[in-house]
Amino acid sequence: MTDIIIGDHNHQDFVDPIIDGEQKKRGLIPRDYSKHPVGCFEFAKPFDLPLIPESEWEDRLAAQKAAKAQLSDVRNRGMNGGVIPARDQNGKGYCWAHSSVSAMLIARAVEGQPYADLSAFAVACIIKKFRDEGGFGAQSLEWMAEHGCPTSEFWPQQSMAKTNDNEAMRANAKLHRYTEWMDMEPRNKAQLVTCLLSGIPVVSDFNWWGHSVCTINLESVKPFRTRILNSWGKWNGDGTGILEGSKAIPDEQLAPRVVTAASK
Amino acid sequence: MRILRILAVIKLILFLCLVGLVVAHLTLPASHPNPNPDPPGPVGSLRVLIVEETAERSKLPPAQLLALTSGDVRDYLDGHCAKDAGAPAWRLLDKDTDVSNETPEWQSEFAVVKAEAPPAIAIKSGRRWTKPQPLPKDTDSLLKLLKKYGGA
Repeated sequence: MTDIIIGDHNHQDFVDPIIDGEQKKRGLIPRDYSKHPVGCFEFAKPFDLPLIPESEWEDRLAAQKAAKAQLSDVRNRGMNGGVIPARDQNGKGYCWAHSSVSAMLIARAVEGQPYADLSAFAVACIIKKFRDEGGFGAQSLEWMAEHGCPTSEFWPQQSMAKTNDNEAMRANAKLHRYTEWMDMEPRNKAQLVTCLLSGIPVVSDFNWWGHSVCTINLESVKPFRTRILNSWGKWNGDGTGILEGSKAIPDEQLAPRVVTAASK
Repeated sequence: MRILRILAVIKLILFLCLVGLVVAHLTLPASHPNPNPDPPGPVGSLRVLIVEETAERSKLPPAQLLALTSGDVRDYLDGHCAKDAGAPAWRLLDKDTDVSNETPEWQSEFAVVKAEAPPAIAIKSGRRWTKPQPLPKDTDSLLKLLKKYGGA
């Protein structure tokens, strides 16, 4: 499978594309930083990792690739030895919840926690009162820090049934919460790279795309490329693609660092 | 005469104390468990817990940071650790992780390892956990340590 590379030259082709007869949706409502400045959220600290100097990026990336230590490698074995499936927002404007849930799936795999088939529709439906509405990454992350996210056993994937919201589902969701996440400076490339070279996934909102995805890898420094995990199901085969240049730097970026531990 | 009797009693008491100390030294376990108490257990019996501070990941030496997500290390852990409900029994947890929904064994060992300076590792092969120790500085040394307890 050849990677899709999205850059300045072709990015318009990936706005609401029709794939296999289905129009893929996005759903990002860009975060208004005048109303929601960096660090304003209850559960999020401003980014506080020491930055990895740019002079070290190339060498560290080469070593990370050689050691098969990238987050894509972790993802490819994260479901009991198999690939963690990409989420599928199924034509709804819920990208902003799927990116946060994708990041939790990766964070749990990094920690060696058993695969839990988390359902992003639970997060989006409850926040938006079951309406098909857009949002931004911090909304879903903040909600997941307080309430968590249930597995598909308690909220089937892509279901919008109100009956899913019950006591058992809420109890299961509490098992999968973010307890620490970092609110990063918008479009700060050094913070993004530091997270990716440190094995931390980044919930990434791209205003040019009107879309929120999870960035999992630094792919190259020159040209600057990252790998994103999308929420369009088997898009490009494994659900991932590559963003290039200015298109790879998120307008809102959030780094979940710690999730609750639960062997369920 | 009375003084001599008192001295004899004191000598007897001192002798008994000395005997007691020798017996205690020979029979009581050391206050710290032996960090290498057991030979490698049967393949598939290993449990491994690493506790780190994620806020300091980017400060770790690059080779030690790589070891945390190294494919070789994960291959080894997935292949040699015991299975809990089908999932390999190893964890890499931040020191501030909420483990209240984890199994009692992970909870109790987490409390022990998080008391050490992160990143630290403890390994169980057989019945007992090793004393936590600093995480080795690179992938090769970490694999060497794991193989010491889990076999090749």
